[in-house]
Amino acid sequence: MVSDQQIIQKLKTIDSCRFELMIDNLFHQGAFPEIVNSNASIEIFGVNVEKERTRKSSLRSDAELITGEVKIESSTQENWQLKLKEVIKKNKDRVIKKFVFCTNQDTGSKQISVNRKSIDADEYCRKNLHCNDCFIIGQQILVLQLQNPIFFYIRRNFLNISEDFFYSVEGYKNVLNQNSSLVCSVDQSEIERYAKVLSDNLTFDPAQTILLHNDDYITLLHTIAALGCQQINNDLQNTISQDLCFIKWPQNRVNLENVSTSEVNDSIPTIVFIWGAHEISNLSEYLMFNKQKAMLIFVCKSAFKDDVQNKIKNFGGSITIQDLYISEIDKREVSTDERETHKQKINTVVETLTEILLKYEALVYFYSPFYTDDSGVKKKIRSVLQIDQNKLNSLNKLLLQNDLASITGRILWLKQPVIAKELLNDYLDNKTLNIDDLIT
Amino acid sequence: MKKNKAQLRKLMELNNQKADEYLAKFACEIIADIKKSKDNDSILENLDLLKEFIYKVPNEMIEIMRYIIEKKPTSPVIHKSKFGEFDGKSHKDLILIGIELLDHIRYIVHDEVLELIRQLSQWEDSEVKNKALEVIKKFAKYDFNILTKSKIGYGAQREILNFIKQWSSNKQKQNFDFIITATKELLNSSIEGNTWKDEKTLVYHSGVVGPTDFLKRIRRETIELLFELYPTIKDSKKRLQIISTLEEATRRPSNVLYGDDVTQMILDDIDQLIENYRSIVFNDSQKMREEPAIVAEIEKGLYWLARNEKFKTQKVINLRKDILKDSFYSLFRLLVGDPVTYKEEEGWDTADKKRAEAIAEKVLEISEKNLRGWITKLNIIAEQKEITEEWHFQEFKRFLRKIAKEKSALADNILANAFKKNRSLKAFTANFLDGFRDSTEFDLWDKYVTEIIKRKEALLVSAICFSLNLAGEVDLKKEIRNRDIELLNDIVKKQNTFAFLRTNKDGHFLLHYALINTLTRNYVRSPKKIEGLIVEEMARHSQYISMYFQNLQMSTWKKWMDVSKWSEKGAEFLKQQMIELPSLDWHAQGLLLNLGKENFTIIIEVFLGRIKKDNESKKRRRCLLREDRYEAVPYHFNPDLREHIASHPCYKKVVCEWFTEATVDWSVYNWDIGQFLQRVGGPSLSEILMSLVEKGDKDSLMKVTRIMGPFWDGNFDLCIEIARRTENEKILGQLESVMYATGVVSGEYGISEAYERKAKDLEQYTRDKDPRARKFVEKMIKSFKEGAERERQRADEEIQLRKIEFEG
Repeated sequence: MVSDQQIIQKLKTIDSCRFELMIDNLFHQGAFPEIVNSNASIEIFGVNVEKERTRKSSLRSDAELITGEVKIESSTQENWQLKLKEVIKKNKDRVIKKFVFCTNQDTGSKQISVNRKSIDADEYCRKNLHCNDCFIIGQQILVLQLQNPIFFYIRRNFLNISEDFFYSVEGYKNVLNQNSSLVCSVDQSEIERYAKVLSDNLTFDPAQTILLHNDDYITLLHTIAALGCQQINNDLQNTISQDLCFIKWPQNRVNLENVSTSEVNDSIPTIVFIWGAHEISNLSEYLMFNKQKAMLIFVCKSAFKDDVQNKIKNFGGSITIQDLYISEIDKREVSTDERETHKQKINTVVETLTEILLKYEALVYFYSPFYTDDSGVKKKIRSVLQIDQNKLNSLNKLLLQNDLASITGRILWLKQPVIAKELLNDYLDNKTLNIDDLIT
Repeated sequence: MKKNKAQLRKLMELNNQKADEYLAKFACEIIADIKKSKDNDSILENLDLLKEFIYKVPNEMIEIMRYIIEKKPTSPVIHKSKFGEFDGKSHKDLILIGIELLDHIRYIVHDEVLELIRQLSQWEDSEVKNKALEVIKKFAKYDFNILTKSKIGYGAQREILNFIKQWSSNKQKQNFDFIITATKELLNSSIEGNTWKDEKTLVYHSGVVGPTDFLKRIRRETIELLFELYPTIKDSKKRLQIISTLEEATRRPSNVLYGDDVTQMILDDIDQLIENYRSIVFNDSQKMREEPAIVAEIEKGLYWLARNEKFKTQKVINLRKDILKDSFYSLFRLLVGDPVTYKEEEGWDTADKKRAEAIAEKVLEISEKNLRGWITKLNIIAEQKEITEEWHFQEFKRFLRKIAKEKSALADNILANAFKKNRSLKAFTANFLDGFRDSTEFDLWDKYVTEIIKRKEALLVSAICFSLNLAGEVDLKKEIRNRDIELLNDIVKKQNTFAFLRTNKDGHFLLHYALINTLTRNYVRSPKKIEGLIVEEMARHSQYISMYFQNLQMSTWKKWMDVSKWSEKGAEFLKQQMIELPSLDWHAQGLLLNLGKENFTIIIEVFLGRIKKDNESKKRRRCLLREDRYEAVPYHFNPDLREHIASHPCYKKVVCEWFTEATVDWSVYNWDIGQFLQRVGGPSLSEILMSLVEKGDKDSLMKVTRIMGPFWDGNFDLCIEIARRTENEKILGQLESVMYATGVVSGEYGISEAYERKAKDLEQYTRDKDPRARKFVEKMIKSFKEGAERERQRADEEIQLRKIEFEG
């Protein structure tokens, strides 16, 4: 459950460009019918006709949007009162029927100080702009709209709140990047190419349920991320035309009973990616998101394709599942020599890694208590082992993942220091390590 | 020479040949560096490094210690810092650290350590000497860990005994303290020690030595050693120390679970002791030859043995019987000693009655005829004051007073002899003077006062004062003559016949103690005059000011005197003295309460005076090491005084006036006011400070946060009230630091939980009407939550560190 406070926190840190896009989307999707109808004809997103500003000026702290005689200004400036006064001054002599000022700040009681007198902000706008309808949309109103299930996808795409059930493209990408078991060694340009192929083969059709699979599952996951990014870039200067949402992984641990189907919007085309489908036990339950305008794509490794299909069909009804396989990803043929070289490479890596990991363990023992933020000791270890920081980080990860060490606060501690002590003794005896080099 | 201590320690723990070679090489570098050092601080730094791996380089440590002992002491270097100047390490500091290090290697290079420690145990500096003796104590001690976890067994005890036994008699005499310290441990029958069960459980072990033949031989030889040493020692005090040490052999283990074999071992040792005691106490013709105080110590030991069925052997009973048979010793036992061991099988009351009757009988016994013999006996008893603690002489003092009262003429002879021949009984002059006054023999009393004046002995003047301090309900107008008051006047003013007292500027504590006691006791005899004398006495000897206040308060409690009735001048004097006192102790506070019961202003003036004095003196001097400790507001506040101040109708108003001089920056003045308000209580700190908050200006708000300082009572209302009134970052910053005060917390996560509680307590203010307050509260909640998390992490790290250290 996302709390108001979480939305406020995110709103506080949103950049002006994303804020403006979010406001535009809210207006376009009918969040404020008293101001403009949904699907109202709005000027091109992000372009100020009067000043001929383009998206290139996105770093500015404020932006504005015009629709006919409706003037919409948005700002992330901390002193919203000052900004409001500025835009009022700017628009003073124009013909405006409706004036809207959007801010990510807390406007409180909407009182602003003018000539040391506190007056109502709406009243101030009306007086100065001579228009009947003036609206100040602040943090609280935005929170209200963003808590409305109809606009969950806007919230997801702009605020990326971790408690939301689905990730946006950005959130999904972060998971791939942060998880060492999901690292992909395929060149990014290659992935972009696969994404293009996937895009060509993937037509949005809510009537279909798709099973997307490949043997090289990791590359497939990165291909989906690249596809999402391409789509966002296309949408950048437009309203969101299609929502891409990704389940949190691994979802087999989550009880879907408490998840609302309203997470997926009924009116906007939505593609739901259920990735890691081969690891999800209650897979058929995800069919609840199979709504009028949603298309479900189950993603898995080809080896588990049948198993996944069976699990989806487990719900008792009948369903047609379209198979989607991007052959380009698995197509690359490898020569025997290349395979042999690869094998040798792995053996060397494993041996080197084992040796260096043992040395590292001995050094962690020697420098215990080993504070992970102690740059002096880390530098010393790097120089003794002749490795860089990334390698050192990966050695840490290996120790942790293999239950050889654990972390408390900043301290990395060994699970079996007695063995590490023996290792250190051996390294000193066979002169692999030299005391003079170890002492700081 | 900069090396990481933890890494050196780790190398030591490895038990690796290469690591050991490295450490040995490094120790040689340390030796060279120490020998080159020009200041003590760098030597100390090197010793600090050596400490981490000393077990690997014991011989190098011995070499360093020899060098430090022999080297010419270098004066400490003065270090300058922004906080002031402070002294570097002295040669003595090096010696003390050196002893600590020698202690670590005492079992590794025992002979070398024992020899160095022996030398150091003869140093004149008591700190060095005691620390060296501590090492000997630990060496000779039956340690649980050594006995159960090493192969050393009783080897350490054997080693130190051999070390002592190889000395010549002369050398043994020179190293008396070493021997006493070691042998006391060797004769102990208990084992003690502690071990860490896990990183948070310390287990204390106590047990009983195993009475093997090896151990029995050690004990036997130790007893023999002490008895051989005994006749060579001339100093009675030291002989008494030997007897006390030998008594250790008769003591049962502290752990009551011991077997018959241990009892038998102790019984055998007691037999050996009794034989030797007999030859100490009696000569060949069975006449008592040892000093009565020493015999009393032996007899006391026998008394306790005879009360235990297991150790009540015939030899014990016989020796005690023979000692008690001696007529002079029985007189000594009657007049001197612990009332507990005077009692035999009968109860307290019977024993007291019997003793009083026996003493009365002895008084009757004294006559012209046997006076010479009595004079000798009484002087021998008086001589024992040098060896025995003074409280043992209560009955003797009463006895002398009784003689002076009931047989004044004979007492005159006894005392005259003591004065003439300058004998030990002179130290009991006060008891004779008491007796003379009891019998209203003013002539005799005057005679000895004249004698004291003639001899110009300042300490004996205290006897005059004490004898004018009459006990019980007496008519002072009748019992204390005008002449006596004049005498006190001259003593205080050190004039006329007592002008000789001027030669000793510092005076004698006992004399001034007696004087103030007597003055307050006789206050009602002549209030105005004696008030003046008390003031003069206090003014002349400010070094005893605490003692004077203690006596003034005590005399008020005894209703001898009422300071609230003192003249304005006298009260003003006391006020000034109370401001000067380094700390207002319980008695001084009691006196202040009496003084200010009808005059509240004086209490307030004393505290304000103290606060201002503290502020001024600390403003002038800012030194890291302050020796002149001054505590403006007492930590232990007298509850009656606190109640009186807190409930006084003028209190709040008066204290609010103090705020005018409070400062916006940190100051001693603010600190002391905060402390005063917190200690006094009454209207809460918040309530009083609210008057300042209500002013609302920047300075007032800043002052409040300064005064709240560390004495803030945990109530957020006042803090939020301040936050509602300002956005000034400096004030809010100061307020934040005040709110972080947690007071005393407990448990590993104590601080973290305290922060979490604070964050929770602040929740109620998140709906505050004032946006500034809301903003501040939100910031603080966030900060406390983050702080709680940080502290939790720190605590987890601490626990883990202990685990790592424990597990290695």
